[in-house]
Amino acid sequence: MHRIESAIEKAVKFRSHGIFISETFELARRQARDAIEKGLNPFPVAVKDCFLTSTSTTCASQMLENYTPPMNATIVDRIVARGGCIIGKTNLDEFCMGTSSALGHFGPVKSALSEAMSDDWLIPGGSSGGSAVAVQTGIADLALGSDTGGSTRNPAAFNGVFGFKPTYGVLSRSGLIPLVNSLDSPSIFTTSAEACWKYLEMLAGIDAADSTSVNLPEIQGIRSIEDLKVGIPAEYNNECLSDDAWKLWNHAANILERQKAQIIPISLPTTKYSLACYSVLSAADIASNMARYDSVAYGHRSKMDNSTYEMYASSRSESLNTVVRKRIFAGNYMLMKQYRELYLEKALKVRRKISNEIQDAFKKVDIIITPTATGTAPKYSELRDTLFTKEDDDDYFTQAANLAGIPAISVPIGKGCNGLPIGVQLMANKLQDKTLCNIAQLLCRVL
Amino acid sequence: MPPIDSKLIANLERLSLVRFDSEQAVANLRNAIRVAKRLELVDTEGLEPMYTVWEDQECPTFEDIEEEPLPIEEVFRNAPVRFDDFFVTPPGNVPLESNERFDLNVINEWDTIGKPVAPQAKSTRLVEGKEK
Repeated sequence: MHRIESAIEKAVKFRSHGIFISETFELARRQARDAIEKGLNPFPVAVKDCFLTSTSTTCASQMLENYTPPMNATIVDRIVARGGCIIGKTNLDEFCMGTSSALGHFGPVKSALSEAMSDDWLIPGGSSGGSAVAVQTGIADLALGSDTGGSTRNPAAFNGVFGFKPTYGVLSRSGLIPLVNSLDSPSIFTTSAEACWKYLEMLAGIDAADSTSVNLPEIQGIRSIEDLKVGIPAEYNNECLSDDAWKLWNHAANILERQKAQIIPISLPTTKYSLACYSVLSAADIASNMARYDSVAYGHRSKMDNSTYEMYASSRSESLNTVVRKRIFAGNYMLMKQYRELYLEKALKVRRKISNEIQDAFKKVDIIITPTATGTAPKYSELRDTLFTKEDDDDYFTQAANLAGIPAISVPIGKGCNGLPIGVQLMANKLQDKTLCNIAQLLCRVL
Repeated sequence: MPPIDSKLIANLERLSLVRFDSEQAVANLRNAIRVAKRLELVDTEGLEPMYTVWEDQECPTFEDIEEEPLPIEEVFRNAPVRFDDFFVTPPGNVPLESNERFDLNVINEWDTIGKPVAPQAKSTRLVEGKEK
């Protein structure tokens, strides 16, 4: 109970950072009492506001401002059953689109590693910025996020916490508002690799309500780094990578080598097309996934309602932000009869090429290590002045793992010259989630 | 880059049921197409499209067993307009009007004459979580 009260106190203290969209303190207290009755230790949890909870779910959009779902997401129910107490629903980029957590309808998330001013702040990364900051500030032991192109690993790296995207399908997507159905993965924020594995075990398992869910097989895992084959892909050392991030990536590889791992250079040449590939696949799925917001059964409804189509168009244009609308248009363009083969089909083939390259690499290596982002977190003003294009530079490092469906974890490896955190990313083959967490743990032990 | 014309704009507004709000919004679409065009440089000869990660997965089907339906009050809890047990919509069968509102020259020459404006962050506020 004490842990929960202290989490609530911290949540109130950090209100100016926009971490939560809705606070569910009474719910958390009730869940704590229930947990104690069942003989469990209650622990504070923060849930990204794209997971359905019957209290309120907005996905940071005006479209769902007043929406209360009739059910909870499966993994929310599972974590509550193990003693999790939900402090609140964390803030994010609207409908999970973005890498800044700045443009949601309820305001931006401001990193707690720096003071939150009204006109400028340190970006927490995105789209699960609120969840990352909830863990970094110590409000929550575990925060649930989602990761479609890097949305958990990126903010984890910027905030100096662990961000773990399991193999696609291992965590049920039932109750996760979908962005790109074949790339989305519910993900975990916490403060150690050990905890990442502990929480994954609590949440994993086939869900009858998610037909794309798979079971996590029992595997040995890894006890020592000796003789581990570590792949370093040349293409991740690009012009956008900062010196600080490069140095720490190098440092991590050196540590592994000193522990008697074998460092093997590999090549993933199609990685440079992962942005284009992701942009087409995501736009197409988004155009379809966003079509459900027609303001009939739920959602913001415009006053301009002379006809059904006018009402749909006005409601959607009024309540979805620029980023969302941009992707809907792009998606519908790519899906037009005359362009579908040229863009969508092509992108799906490029996806296979990227995935095949990664599978081939895992025939030679056990694990791949790369930077998680270009460097430390930018300021809002810097991002705004590039018209948010800097987001693409950071997305480059994380997207391929989603396209291939492999597990990936961002490990806080050190700090840049400006004192801000930098993350390094480890990737393993499908269903090797335990191996991945073990290696992350072993790496951290020797840091 | 094929130039964007008002026919395409109208068509996309009808397909998306969303409105473009400025020349910049249409120029953003042009940029998205430009990024997508990069894929033409990739050799994908002999490759099949990859729709999902688990291609050999056995997809379970549901048993034909009666489930508990959602109570009617839950169904209507979020409905903006309700009449008895009906959702209400305005009259249909009227095509979406799409008047020519944009300067096509600005859109197609955006790289040289466009003046992009960055989206602004909104102010911080909380939504009341409804504790059930």
